[in-house]
Order: sequence, then structure tokens, then C-alpha cells
Amino acid sequence: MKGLIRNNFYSMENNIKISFVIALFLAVVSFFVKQEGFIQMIIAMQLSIFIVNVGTSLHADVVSKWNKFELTLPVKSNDIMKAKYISFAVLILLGIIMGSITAVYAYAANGFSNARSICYGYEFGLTLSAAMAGIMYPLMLKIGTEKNEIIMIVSAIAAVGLRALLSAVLTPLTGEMNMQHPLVGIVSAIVAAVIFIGSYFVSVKIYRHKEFS
Amino acid sequence: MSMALTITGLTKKYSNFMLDNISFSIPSGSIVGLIGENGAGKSTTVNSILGLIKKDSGSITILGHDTDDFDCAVKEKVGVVFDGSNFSEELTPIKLSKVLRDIYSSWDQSYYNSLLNQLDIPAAKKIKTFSKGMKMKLSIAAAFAHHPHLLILDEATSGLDPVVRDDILDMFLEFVQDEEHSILVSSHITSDLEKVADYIVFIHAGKIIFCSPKDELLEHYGMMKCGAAQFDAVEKNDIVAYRRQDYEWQILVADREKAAKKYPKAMITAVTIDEIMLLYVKGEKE
Repeated sequence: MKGLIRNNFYSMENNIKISFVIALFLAVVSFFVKQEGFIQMIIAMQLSIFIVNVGTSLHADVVSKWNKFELTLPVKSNDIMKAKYISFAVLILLGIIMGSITAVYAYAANGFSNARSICYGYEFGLTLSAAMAGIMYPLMLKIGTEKNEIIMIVSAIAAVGLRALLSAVLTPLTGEMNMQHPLVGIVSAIVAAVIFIGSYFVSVKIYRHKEFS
Repeated sequence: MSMALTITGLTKKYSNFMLDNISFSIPSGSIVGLIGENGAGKSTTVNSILGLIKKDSGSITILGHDTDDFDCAVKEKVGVVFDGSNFSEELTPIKLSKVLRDIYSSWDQSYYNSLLNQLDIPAAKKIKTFSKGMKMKLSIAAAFAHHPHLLILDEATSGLDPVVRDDILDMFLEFVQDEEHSILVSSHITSDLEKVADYIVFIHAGKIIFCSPKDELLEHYGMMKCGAAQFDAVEKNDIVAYRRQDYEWQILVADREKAAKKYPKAMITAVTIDEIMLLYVKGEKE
């Protein structure tokens, strides 16, 4: 499986570098912007910027026919999917690390005064990245990568929609429909993580039934 | 004789094509050429063998193991090369070896490096900068580098120049020298197979037309060239396939020695695999 993960990162290498540059640029921007609203959005963007490479990864596999070839390798089909999802989890982790640069600076500059804003950025970023990856990958596996961009946009909308839906569902507990409520943030992030894990099993099923001509 | 691969009654139906009850074997230590025109069913057969498509019926045994319960240990012993590159374009041959050595326990890095040298493959350049021929050479090097027992190649020599193709065919011959390694190579470049194959499996419209030792085919089959009157005089049982070209009739016969004795006035020549295939596909049958 190590070889499969290595292959995933090699094929996404260039795009990951671009994501790094963007995330770093956002971190630098955060040094000059003091508004809490911006800080939280910057952290959310940094967390989710790496996950757009999910599409790149699958597209690279399809173009090179690696997705067909890897089935002939001495690895189980479950492990192929496991390697993919571990790679995606690492992408999310990279986003968390980059977001932490902004968070650490914001804390150093203003102390705990904007802690809630930073937490919101993490919750929203995690919801966005985990739900996006979880929705995007099995869809692309099933439909194909020709509609890559549309699937990515739909996944992003679905991830935001999830948060809106949960804020509505949790209204009895939060008192009003508030997407920025801490409870909504935590529950959204947990549900997104569940979607991400569940997505692995869906992808395994799709992959097992897939035929390569 | 032990078999590296045995296919029995393989059937796969699509809406517009059917692989119909395919059966053939690859004896250990031999090279089997799978020939046929585009769309004949070669790739469907190869994909079924590799489990890339689900067969409707039939059984496939590789190195004594049924492919329905194909485990990693068996896959380790099978090398695969498809038409074109199978690897991410962003990789270099060096990075590719880092990927594959973590996957194949039998990966032989020094052999891989020597193959890169032998085939003039730049180790540090990205695959996306390679020509089609170079990509094919890399795929072949990667397939050889984990010491497979059975090599399955789907149109692997297409896109290669004659010199490189010859080098690779020599590698194939060397590979099967010890009688323990075997190769299934699907190709429409029949001249390659004439050089290296021990057996020829000819597939046409999803059906096996023949599966015979190559030498037997080339020794026995013949092409009778004659006019209309002589064509009418030929017994229909002696005709495998025929076609008319302008004023000449070309008749494929299964036993050219017998035909030469029976029709002493006719000109009967030896045939190439290409000509046999052509007459089967484009000719008419009695």
C-alpha cells in the first residue's frame, strides 16, 4: 500500500505545490488583515485548498490508465481504495497544518480574543474538505472524470448545504438558525468525517463492480 | 506438460459484441501470439484473463490458480504491459521504481536499472516527455523487473521502431529460455509473432478460428493462385478461405503439399501469418 500512496502523491505533486503556495499566500494575507471574519475564512480556505487535488488524482489515473493497471498489481482492491483515502486524509492534514500558521499568528497577535473565530475557521474548513472529498471521489469514480469541475462544484455546494441543513436541524438546541453556532460547527465537522469514512465503503463497492475495457 | 495459462469456455457478452466460448492454453516455456483484427476480441480476452472485466462464464487458470480467487501471490508472478504507458505522466522512471518496489516483493532494482540502460530510457525525465515507443519500453522494463513467470502483453510492440522491436522480441525469447516462463502477446503485427511465437491463437469476431503451433501453420498452410476455371475445379473441401483479386483467385489451403499433388498445374506458395489472417477475415469460406 505504501507504493500506492507514494504514487498518489507523485501524480498530485505539482498541484500540491500550487496549493502550498496559495495556502502560504493566504497565511501572509492574514498577517495584515485584522478582521475576525477574514481570519476564519482564510483558515477555512487553507484547510480545503488541498482537497481539490482529489479530482486531479483520479484524472491522472484515468489519463495514464494507471487505474486499470493497478488492478493487475499484487494488491487488494480494498487496499487501492484505502491508499486513496489515506492520501486524501493527508491532504486534509496538510490543510490543517497550513491553517495553523494563520491560527498561531492570530493567537500571537491578539491572544484568545479571536479564539471563536479561529475555531469556526477550523470547523468550516474541516466540514468543507472532508465532505467534499467524501462526495466527490465516489461520484467521479462512478461517472468518470470528464465532468471533474462540475462534480467538484456540486460537492462544495453539498458541503456548505450540509452545514446549513444541520444549523436548521439543530435550531431547537441553538435557539435560532445560526451557521456560526459552535454546536453546528462541531456537529457539521463530525458528520463530514462520517461522510468521508462512509464514502470509502461506497468507493470500494463502486470499484469492485467497475469494468475496464 | 504444465500450463502457465488455461482458458476454458470463456464467454463475455456485450450489446454489440460477444466473446464466444474461448478456449486455449499456454504451455510453460512458450510464447503464444493472440492475433486478430481490431475489435476481434483480443483485448477483451486479455482483460478477462486479468480480471479487469467480469466474464459471463468459463474458467481461467493462471499458474495453477483459478482467477476467481486470484491472490496477491499469483499476481506477483504475472507481468502486464498494455498498449501505451500505464503510469502517471508526472513520474520519472526513478520515481516509478520507488512506487513499484514497495508493491512487488520480487522487485529487482539492479535489473530494472540495467534494463533502463539497455533500452536507453532516461531515468530522471518525466514520463510525459517520452515518445510512445519510449513509454512502451519503460512499461516492458517495469514488467520484467519483478521477474514474472507469465508475461501478458496487449499490443505491446505497437509504436516501437523496428530496431527496438527486434531488441524487445529478443528479450522475449531470452525470457522463455528456461522453459519456466511464458508469454501471451496480443498483437496485430504478425511479423513479430512469426519471429518469436510458438503458438498462434487466431481470434475473429469473438471466436477462436484456430489455435496451432506456428511452425505447423507456416509449414502446412499454402496459398493457391489460379484463374476462374481452375478455381471451379478445386474441391470445396480443400478450400479454407478464398478471395478474388481482379482476375486471380487466391485460395488458402490447409495442406499445401497435398494440394500441390492434387492440383499440379496450380501455383501454390507458402503463406505468412498475415496472409492467413487476411484470407480468413476478408475472404469467403466454402
